[in-house]
Amino acid sequence: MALVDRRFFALLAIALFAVLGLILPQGARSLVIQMMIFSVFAMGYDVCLGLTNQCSLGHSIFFGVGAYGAILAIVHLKAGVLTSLAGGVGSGLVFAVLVGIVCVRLSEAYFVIVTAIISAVFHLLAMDLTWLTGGDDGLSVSVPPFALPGVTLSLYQPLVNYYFVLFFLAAAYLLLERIVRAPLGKIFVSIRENEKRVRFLGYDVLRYKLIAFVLSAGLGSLAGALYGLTLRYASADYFSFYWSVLPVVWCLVGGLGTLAGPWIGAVLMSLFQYYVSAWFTYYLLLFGILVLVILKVSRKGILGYILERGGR
Amino acid sequence: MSDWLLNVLFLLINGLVWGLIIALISLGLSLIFGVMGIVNMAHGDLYMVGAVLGFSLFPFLGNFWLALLVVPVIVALIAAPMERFILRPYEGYHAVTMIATVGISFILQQAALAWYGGVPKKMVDPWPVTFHFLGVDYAGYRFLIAAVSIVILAAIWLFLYRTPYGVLIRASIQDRDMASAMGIDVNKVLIATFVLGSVLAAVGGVLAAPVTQVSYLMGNDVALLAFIVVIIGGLGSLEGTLVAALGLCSLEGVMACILSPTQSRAAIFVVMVAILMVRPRGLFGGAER
Amino acid sequence: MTADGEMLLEIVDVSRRFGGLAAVDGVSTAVRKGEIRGVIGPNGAGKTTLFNVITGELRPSSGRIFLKGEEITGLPPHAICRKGLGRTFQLTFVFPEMTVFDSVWVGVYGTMKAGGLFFSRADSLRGVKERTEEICGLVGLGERMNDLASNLSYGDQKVLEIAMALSTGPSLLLLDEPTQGVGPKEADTIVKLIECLSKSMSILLIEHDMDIIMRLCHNLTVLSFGRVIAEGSCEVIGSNDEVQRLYLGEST
Repeated sequence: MALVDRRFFALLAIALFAVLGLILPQGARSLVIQMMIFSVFAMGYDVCLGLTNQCSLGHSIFFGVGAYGAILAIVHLKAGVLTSLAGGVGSGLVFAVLVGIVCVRLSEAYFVIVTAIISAVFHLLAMDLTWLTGGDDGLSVSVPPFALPGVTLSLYQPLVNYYFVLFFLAAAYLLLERIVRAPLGKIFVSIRENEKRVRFLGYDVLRYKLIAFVLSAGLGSLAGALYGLTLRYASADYFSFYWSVLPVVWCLVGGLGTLAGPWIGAVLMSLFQYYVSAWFTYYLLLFGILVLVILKVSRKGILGYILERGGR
Repeated sequence: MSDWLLNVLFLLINGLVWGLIIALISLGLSLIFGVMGIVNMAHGDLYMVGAVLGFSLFPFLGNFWLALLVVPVIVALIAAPMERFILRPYEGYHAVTMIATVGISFILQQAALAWYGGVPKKMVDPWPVTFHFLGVDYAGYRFLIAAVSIVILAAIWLFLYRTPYGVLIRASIQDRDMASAMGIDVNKVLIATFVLGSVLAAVGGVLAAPVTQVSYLMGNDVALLAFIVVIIGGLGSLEGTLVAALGLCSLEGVMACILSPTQSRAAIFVVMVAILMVRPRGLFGGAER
Repeated sequence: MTADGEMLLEIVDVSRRFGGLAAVDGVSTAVRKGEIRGVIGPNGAGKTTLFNVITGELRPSSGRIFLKGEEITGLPPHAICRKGLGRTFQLTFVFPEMTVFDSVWVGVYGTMKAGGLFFSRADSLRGVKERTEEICGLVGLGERMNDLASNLSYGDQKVLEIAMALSTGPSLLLLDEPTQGVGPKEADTIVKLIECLSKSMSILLIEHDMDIIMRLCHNLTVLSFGRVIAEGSCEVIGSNDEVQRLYLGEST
C-alpha cells in the first residue's frame, strides 16, 4: 500500500492504542477508552454521511438503544457481557431498519429533519418512561465477569476493559474496510457522487441507502453498548440531540469518507471536552464556536486534507 | 353544556391559540427553508431569545406593546449579521450550513444560560383580565395572543401576496435561479427572508412568554413542534404550515385531557410518520415524479 | 445498417403535463431493432422531457410505453434500465470523485450479477473487470481508466457518459446531445463511436447538428411544442416544408 493511505493511518492508530493501553496512567487510560468508543461511533456515522451523503441527525437513537439494550439485558435477563453486547447491537439494528424504512426515502432536507424529530421523540420517551430507563437519573448495573477459553475476565479490570473496547474498534474497522473494498463500497460512493445517475445504472438506490444507514446505525449501537458496559450506566441523556451532533462534528473535523479520519475528530473533541469543561462552565458555548471555526477552515477535515496532499 | 364538553372546548381553544403562535414560528422556518434551502436548527433558539428579551425588557419598558416592537428590532440586528457572515459563505452546501446553525444554537443557548440563568421563570401577565365564556373563565391575555397573531399572519400574507417585495420572495421560493436570472438581487432577498423568519420566531417568543415558562432550553421543545408542523404541512408551503400548525396544536390540546403531554407528543409524531409514508413531501409539499 | 428489424420501443399517445403546460403532447412513435432514430426540433420542443418520460424519470400524464413488447409505463428508472435501456444526459452527469474505471464498473457489476456484494474484493471480480476494460477501450478511454472523472476534459467526460450508458448492456441507447459543446475533432470521434455502437444496439439520438443527424440517422422524428409534426426518413424530412419553416424561423 502507498505510504499515504488511509489504511496506514488506521493500522497505525490501532497499534498506537494498543501500546498506550499498557503505558498510560489510569485516568488517561479511561479517557482513551472513551476515545476508542467514540471512534467506533464516528466511523459508523461516516458510512452514512461520508460514504452515501445521508446527513442523519438522529444517530443518538442508536447510541442510546445500544447502551440500554446492553444494560437492560443485564438487569432483566441477567445476561453476560457478550450477550448483552449482542443485545445492544441487535436492538440497534432493529430500530435502524424501522427508522431507515421511514427516512431513507425522504429527500435531503426532510431526511435531516425527520431523523432529528425521531431522535427527539426517543429522548422524550426515554425521559418519560422512568420505570424502564431510569429517566435522566439512569440505570446503574454491575457487570458480571465473562469467560473466554481458558480464562475468566472482568470488565472491572481496567486493562481488560481497555483491550475489550480496542478489540471491537479494530474488528469494526476491518469489517468496514472489507466492505468498502467490496462492490458495496463502490456502490455507496457512486450514490454519494451522483445518486440520480446510479438509478439509471439499474440500481434500486433506496435499498443501498438503507443498507448504509443500518450498517452505520449498527456501529452506533455497538458504540452505545460499549459505552454502557464501560460506564456500567445508561441514562436517557444518551438519546439527547448532543449525541446526534457529536458524530457529525467528529467526521467533519477528522475527514469525511475516510473511515479512519473521524477517529481523529473523536480524539480531538474528547481532549477538548475533557480539558475545557474543567475550567469553563459554558463549555458548550466554546463547542458551538469551535464548530463554526472548523467549518470555516476545512470542509474536508484533517485526514481528508492530508490524503489530498499526499495522493491516495 | 356538560362539563366534559366544556373542558374539551376549553382545551381546543387553548390549542388553537397556541397553534397560532406555533404557526408564526413555523412560518418563519418554512420561509427560511423555502427561499434559502436551509434547515435552521437555531430557529427554536431565536424563539427563546424573543421570550427572554421580552421577559427582561417588559419591566424595563413597562409596556408590553413596546416590548413587542423593540424585540423584533433587536433580533433583526442579531439575525442579519448571522446570515451575512456565518450562513452566506456556505451557500449551496446545505449540510454544512445546517451544522453551522447547530453551532449557533449552542452559542445562543449558552449565552442565554449565562445571562438569564438556568432557572425557568414565569412572566407577569400583561393583561390580567378574565372573560366569562359559556360558564368558563378564560384569560384575556390569550385573546390578545390570538388577536396579535392573526394580525401578524394577515400582514405577512398581504406582504407576500400583495407587495412587489413579497412577490420577489415567493418567486425565489419557486425557483431561485430563475429569480436571479430575472435580475432580482438574490442576496437582499436572502437576508430579508432570514431576518423575517427569525423575527417571526422571536415575536412568537414574546407572545408566548407570559403563558409559558421562560428558560434557556424552551426553544428545543418548540423547535421540535415547529419542525413536525413544517414536515406535515410541506417544507416551503405557507398554506400547509398554517393548516398543520392549527390542526396539530388543537389536536394535541384536546388529547391533553386523556393523554399525558409526552404521550400526545408521541401521538402527533405517529401522525407525522403516517403522513410521510404516504406523501414523503408532506401534505402540501412539492409533487413527486 | 438497415432499420427493418422488429419493434423495440413503442410509444403510444404519451403526454406529460406540468400544471397547464403539456411539455410532451400525444407523442406516438416506434423504434425498430437496428435503427438509429434522430429526434430533432427547436429548443423547448420537449425532446429531453420525452427522454425523461421514456427512461422513467418522469411518469407520463397519459399514454403507454413498451420496450421489447413489455410495458414499462410508470416503472422506476432502475427497473427500466434493467430491461435494456441506457441513456446519457445533456449536461455531463458523472461521478466526479470516482475513476473512469470505477464509473463504468458500477454499471457493469449491477448488470452482471457477479455476487459477492459485501465481502468479495471488488477489483478481483474478473468478469466484471474484463468487461469494464472492454467498454473503456471501446470508447477510447482505455488509457485514462485511472483518472478521476472530474479531471477529464469536457470531451472525454462526454465520452465517459456514453461508456456509463453502455455499462448496463442496453438494447436501446438514448443519447441526449452527445456532441454538444465539443470541438469538431472530438465530435467526429463520438460520431464514429455511435456508428460502431449501432451495429449492436438501436439508438435514439437528440442532436442539433444537422450534418451529424444526416450522417447517422435512418429516420427522424421532428418535435415542436411537444408534438410530433413530422416523421420519416432523412430525405423525406429534409424536403418537408413545415420542418423547413421550423428551422428557418429558428436560429439553431
